Order: sequence, then structure tokens, then C-alpha cells
Amino acid sequence: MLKLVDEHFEEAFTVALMAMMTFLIGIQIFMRYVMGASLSWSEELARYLFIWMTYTGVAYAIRKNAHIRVTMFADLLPAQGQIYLRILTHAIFAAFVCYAMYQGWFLIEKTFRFGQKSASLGMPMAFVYLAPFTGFVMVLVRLAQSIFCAVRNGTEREMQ
Amino acid sequence: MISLILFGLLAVFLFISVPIAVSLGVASTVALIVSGKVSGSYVPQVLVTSIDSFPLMAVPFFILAGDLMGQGGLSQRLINVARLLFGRYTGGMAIIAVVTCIFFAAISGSGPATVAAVGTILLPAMARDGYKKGFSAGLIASSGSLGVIIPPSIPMVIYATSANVSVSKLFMGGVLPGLLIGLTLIAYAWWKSRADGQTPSDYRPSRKEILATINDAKWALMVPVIILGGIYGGIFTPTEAAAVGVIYGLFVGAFVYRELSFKKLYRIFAGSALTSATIMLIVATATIFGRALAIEGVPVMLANAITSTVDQTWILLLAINVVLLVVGTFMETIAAIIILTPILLPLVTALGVSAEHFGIMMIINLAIGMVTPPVGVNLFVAARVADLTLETVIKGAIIPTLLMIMVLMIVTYIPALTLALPAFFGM
Repeated sequence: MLKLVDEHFEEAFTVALMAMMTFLIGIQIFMRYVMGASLSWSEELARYLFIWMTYTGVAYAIRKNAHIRVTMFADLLPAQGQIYLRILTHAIFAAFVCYAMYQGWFLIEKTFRFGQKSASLGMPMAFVYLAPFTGFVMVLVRLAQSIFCAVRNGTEREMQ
Repeated sequence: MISLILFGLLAVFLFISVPIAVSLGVASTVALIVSGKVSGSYVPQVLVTSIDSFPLMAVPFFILAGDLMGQGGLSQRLINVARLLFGRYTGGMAIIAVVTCIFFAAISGSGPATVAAVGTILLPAMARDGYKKGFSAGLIASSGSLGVIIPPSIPMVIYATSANVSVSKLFMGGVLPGLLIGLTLIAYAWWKSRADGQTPSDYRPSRKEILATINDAKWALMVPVIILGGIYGGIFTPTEAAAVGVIYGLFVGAFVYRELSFKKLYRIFAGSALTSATIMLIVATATIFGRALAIEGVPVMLANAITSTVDQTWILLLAINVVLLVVGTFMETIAAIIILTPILLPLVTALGVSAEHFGIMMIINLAIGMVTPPVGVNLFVAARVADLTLETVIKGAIIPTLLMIMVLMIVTYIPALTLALPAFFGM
């Protein structure tokens, strides 16, 4: 069970969000041309799902080792050095994420308090600002897993 | 001082293989904090606002649509049609490879996706027909970069967002330069195959065969009509067209050609979401970087410094091409676009070059970067698909790359090649 969650949690989430985005835009076009009634909220909702998908996907990309990096120079290091370097880059990633979450927390709190609403859905904007925050919680988990694995096994976390 | 922190940290992080998105984010956040000119809520705010854009949503949809069609059996049908047209000539298979890349480029907006879709099927076939493996792989790797030059194009969506120009106009601007590169590569394929001793084939399809092939391929041939026709007919926005492409690709792949199982679909959706997320994180942190640059006045400073020394547009354009080609060899395309557009665009517009013309120039430069080592995604994909060493593919891609640079020069110095078509359609 844990293994299943570990392997597919963000993945299932991003797949569902991607499918919903496609569906929403499909409905939007259908309504406009076939039913002759434009939807005012579909585009906004799709954009917010897209933001959620992006930040969930950022965590998923750590799991899959898919973030784009320039490895030209790192590849010249011996294997052991590469592992240490990878741990360092994970730590730098974590530092950025922590800063964004720390500042993000105040932003979320403020938008909740002022009750800022989205333009057409009237949804509290705090839910949108919650996307990077939530995604980054998952990012921290994934980074911790990777660092832990690198320290314990001395290898990159295995990906399929 | 602050520029020094910004560029210094960025260089160090990139060098030690910190993910590009994170390198941009950390370097610019530190620079902004030191400058003390923005509030703390700026970074979390930009993480949302920079990607809260409907035009940008075309990116995940185009990635997904391209993958669905590549794996849903549409590429095989396009190859069949190209074979009808060119199968009989000397070097027929090589010409078919380029032509299919041109077709597929009008369906997909990505270079590596085009290489994968066309190469997976054609590379084994070309090997069977006695083409040299390095030549075939190099040719398809190069032709694959048409994926980003012929519309739709994911890098063009990104450029349009950061340069604030119309996606549709940019797409239209890419058509003629893309076709010119395609024709050049076809000529090379023909010439090189003949030099390697290929002979004309006796392939003469019967009328019945022709009709059957076209009938089977009609669903694939309709895609550019729907996507591009939809955009230029004013029926959909580019983002909506991309979503329609996804739904259409799903429908055709799953119900008409029946090559998409549920499991395959899940994989494709997950893969596209993954690619899109890594790109969007770069977009978000590069926006912070752009802000740090602007606060420091770097683009203006650079523009003033250069325009006061270089007053001839052609020298400047040549210099920019060289810079972009070099950057393209090691930098990832999307990141290069978002980092360099705010720096270079003010420079060229000061000398009267239009943002659309410059955009196409930049895209072609970076497309060439996809087939040049050390970082050339198309090379990697071609080597993996053909099961060859990277060196073999690189050797095969040398002449096509030089030819593309030649076309790049033509595109650079004849703006009409880019701008005539959008002007003709009154954009």
C-alpha cells in the first residue's frame, strides 16, 4: 500500500487534473458552438487546475528524476562525488522551496483574511495560492526521500 | 553588485547541476532580497501569477496531443502517405523521412516528440533498405527540429508569452522558414542517398492502393486542418485548438486506429503532465529572474551599450545568431527563450527588427541547438531509438546542421520570408 502511494500518488493526481483540464476546455468549445452559450467560468477553473497540476507535477518530477539540469560538468566527477553533489543540489532545491513556503504562508493567510475572490467563480484566491504551497510540501517529502536514499545506499534513488 | 550576485550564483548553480528552474529561482530571489526592492510576498505570488495564463496552457495540451498522435498510430499513416508521393524516387525512404517530419511537425509542437514518432518506425525500415545508420539517424534528428519551427510549436507559445506577441501570428511566421528548411533537407536526402548508391525503386502504387492508403490516413491528415484551420479561421484560440487536438487524438487513437489502451493512455497523460510541470516551473522562476534583471536595468544598459557601438543591424543580427547558436548547444530550449528574450528583444527592436521576425530567428537557432552536442535532445532521442552511439548520430547530423544554419542566415536577412505570410492574412 505504502509502495503504491509512493510510486503513484502525484502521478495519479496530475493525470486526473490533466484529464479534467481537457474536459473543461472541450465543454467550453462545445457550449459555445453547439449550445450557443459561452461559459464564463470554465477557462478560469481550467487555469487553476493547471496551476495545481504544475506544482503537483514538480514533486512528481523529483520522484522521476525529470527536472532539467545541465549535467555536463557533474558527469566528470567520480561516482561518489556525483552522489554528494546530488545531495547538495537537493538541499539547494529544499532551501528555495522552504523560502517560498514561508513567504507563501503569509500570503495565503492574508488572502484568506481579506477574502480576495477570483473574477468569475468567486472562489477564494487563497485556494489558488495554496497550490505551490501544497506542491512544495510534497517536494520536500520527495527531496527528503532522495537524500535519505543517497546517504543510506550511496546511490541515486531508483526510478522505473 | 546585484547583477554580479544574480549572474554569479546562476552560473555556479547551473555548473554544479542544480535543476535549471531552481538555479534561476534561487539566484534571482537572493538578488531581489539583497536589493531590498521587492516585498516578501513577491516570490510566492509570482509562482502563481506567472503561469496563471490561458495562452500558456497550450503547452501541456500540445505536448499531450503530440504524444497521443505519435503513439496512437497517426505517424504510421503519415508515413504511408509520404511513401505514396516519394517512394519511387532515388533515396525515397530518406525523402519520406523528411516529409513525414514536416507532416508530423504540423501536428506536434515538439522536436524530440517528432524524432521519436517518425524515427521509431522509419529508422528500422531505412536500415532494411540499406541506408547508412548514422545518415538516417542524423537526418531524422535534424528534420525533427521542424517540430518546433512549423506550427504548432511549444517554444513559440513560450516566446509569444514572454515577448507579448500573438501566438497565431508567430505560428504563421514559422510556416515559410520551416518549409524552406524542409526542402533543403529533402534535397540533401536525395543527393546523399544517390551518392551512397541508392537507386530508384520500382514502387508504383496502384490506384486502388493509393485510395486505400489515403482513406486510412484521412484521420491523421485532418489534424493540421482542424488545429491550424481552427486557429486561423477564428474558431478557436491556440489553447483551445490544442485541447481539441488532445480530444481528437484520443478519439482517433482509441476508437478509429485502436492503438491506445487504457494503460497506455494513463502513461501518456502522466508523461505529458510531467514534461509540462518541469517547463512551467522554469517559466515561473524565470519570471522572477526577469524581474531581477529589470530592477537592475540590465536589458536597457546592455541595449544602450551595444547600440552605441554597433549601429548596423546586420552585424548585430549576426552577433546575436552566433550567441544564440552557442547558447543553444548547451542550454535547454525553453529556459533559453525565457532568459534571453527580455535581454535581447529590446536590443533588436531598438534597431527596428520586429518581435515576430526575431522570435522565428531565435526559435530556428534553438532548434539547431537541439541537434548539436553537448545538449541536443533530438540527438539523444535519435540515438536511443536507433540504438546507436551518440557519436554516430552527431556525425550524421553535421551536414544537415550546416544546411539549417544556411537557411537561418536567409531567414535572418530576409524578414519578408517570416513576415509575408502573416501580412498576407492581415495579421
